Amino acid sequence: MIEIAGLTKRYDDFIAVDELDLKIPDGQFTIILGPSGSGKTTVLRMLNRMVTPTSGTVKIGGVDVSTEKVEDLRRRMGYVIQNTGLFPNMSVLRNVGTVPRLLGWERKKTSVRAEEMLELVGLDPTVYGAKMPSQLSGGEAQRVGVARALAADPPILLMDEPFGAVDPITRERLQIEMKRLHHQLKKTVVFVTHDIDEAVLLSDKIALLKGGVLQQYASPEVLWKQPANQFVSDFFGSDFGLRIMIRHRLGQLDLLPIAGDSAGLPRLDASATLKEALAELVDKRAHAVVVIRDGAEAGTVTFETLMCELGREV
Amino acid sequence: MSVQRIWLKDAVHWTTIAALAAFLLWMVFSPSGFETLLRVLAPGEEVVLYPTVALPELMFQQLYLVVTASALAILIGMSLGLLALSRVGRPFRDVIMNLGNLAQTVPTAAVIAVAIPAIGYGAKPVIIALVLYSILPIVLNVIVGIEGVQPAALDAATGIGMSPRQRLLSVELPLAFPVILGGVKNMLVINVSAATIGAIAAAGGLGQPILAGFATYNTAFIIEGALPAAVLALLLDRLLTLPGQTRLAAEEV
Repeated sequence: MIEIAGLTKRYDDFIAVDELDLKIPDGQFTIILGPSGSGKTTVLRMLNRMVTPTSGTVKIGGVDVSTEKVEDLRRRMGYVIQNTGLFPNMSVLRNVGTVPRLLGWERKKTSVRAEEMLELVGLDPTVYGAKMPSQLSGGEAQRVGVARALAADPPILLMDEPFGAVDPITRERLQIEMKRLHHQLKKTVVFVTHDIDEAVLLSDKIALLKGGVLQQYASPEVLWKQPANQFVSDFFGSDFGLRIMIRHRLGQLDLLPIAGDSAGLPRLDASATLKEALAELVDKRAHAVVVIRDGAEAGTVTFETLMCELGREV
Repeated sequence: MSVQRIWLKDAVHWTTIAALAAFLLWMVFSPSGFETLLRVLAPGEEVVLYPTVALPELMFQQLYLVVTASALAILIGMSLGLLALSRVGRPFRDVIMNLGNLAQTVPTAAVIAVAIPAIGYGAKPVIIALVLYSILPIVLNVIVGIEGVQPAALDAATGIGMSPRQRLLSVELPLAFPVILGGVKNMLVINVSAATIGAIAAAGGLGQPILAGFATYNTAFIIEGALPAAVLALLLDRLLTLPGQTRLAAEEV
């Protein structure tokens, strides 16, 4: 549990973060979202003391982080930044093994671990291990950045716009990988972004900031249905519902029995999102989509079923 | 850049080094051969090899001056550069760079002239002058090199829990190394030529036959000192130009 209480950062007259209170349970994927200049990076950097708060406290597992030796604190938190921050003078494998080395792991264990981490993020260590960062594409470099952050198995992962500098297609692939990794490793992730779709896709909860002040801290569904103020609803815009459809999958829905001839209807796997189903309905001008589960037709969904799912109590 | 082109560049690089080294060794250790060459280059002279001190000893004296002064300059320059970048020394960064600039504007000959009455003739005043002159390129390149390290790499180094010292040793210095090496190279090349002035302080070296050549209007003596000095400077320059540097630059494009 990360407990942030009264956290404030002031630069002369400018208040970057104002009296922030936030409780982040273990294993939660938390997005800090806001327009530029809203203080989101400052919040993240106060967690690992890259920025010293003017006042307020950060406690992790009940321990005030300001009482710890700063290097020890940081080695227990993975850190991923936008421009990867890979060390250009070290091979990929050496980059990934940095924190284990700092922690004094023995050489063999470090390199074995580094290879495992590369595999975890989908890079073949025999192909990529010996490469230098300058030989990687943007997406590959960012994967290495994530592998490096995870190498010492830190319980917390801090990510500062990690996918902000890669092209849209690579970004989407990295986001999906990130979701899978979070599911698999159950790390507490604090992730800064200004990209609403990224926030909606990845988050358990979003903390929306404006001018250093927390506007609302809730799941995307709650932000959509019960926005705390006008800024929240304006920020997410009128297509927020449409964006939220990527969070829900057809497999979760109560399917309708197949009535009559389904041959002409579009078909989607149960793992498809509601957004894909909606797109399919519109594209084929169909009244229903057949849902396939384990290769067999499991039922159908209609526009009404989709709306019913979105309308569910949050 | 293609693999062949890189291979060719490497081959040219190392061939140049081998040729320069062979030419230098031949001049220094084959007096009869070098004598023949000097007779061709300065046909009017009767005596072409400086008779007082043999070339191997002059070369040794020259190297002694250059190596001692350069080692001291690297030591002092690195320390001052790192001091200027440390938390304590940061306010003095500009002062240190200005001092380095100032030291380089004072002519070497003037420093030697001032130092001789204080500490006498010999190698010492020359080394002091060379060191003073050499500190700037080192300090400057240490500061510029380290300040030029990608901010993202520094941020990551700090963020993943490196102490300032670990960050300096495993990230900042390695990344600044090519720039610092450039400063060392400049300094060495300058020192090889500047050390010839050491002859006026009786420090020996390749300047001695040059000085004698001027005094007796003997062109051959001048060439006997100047040619090995020039080849030595070229050789050091080539040796400290990493063939890998061009390769790295090619990959980044």
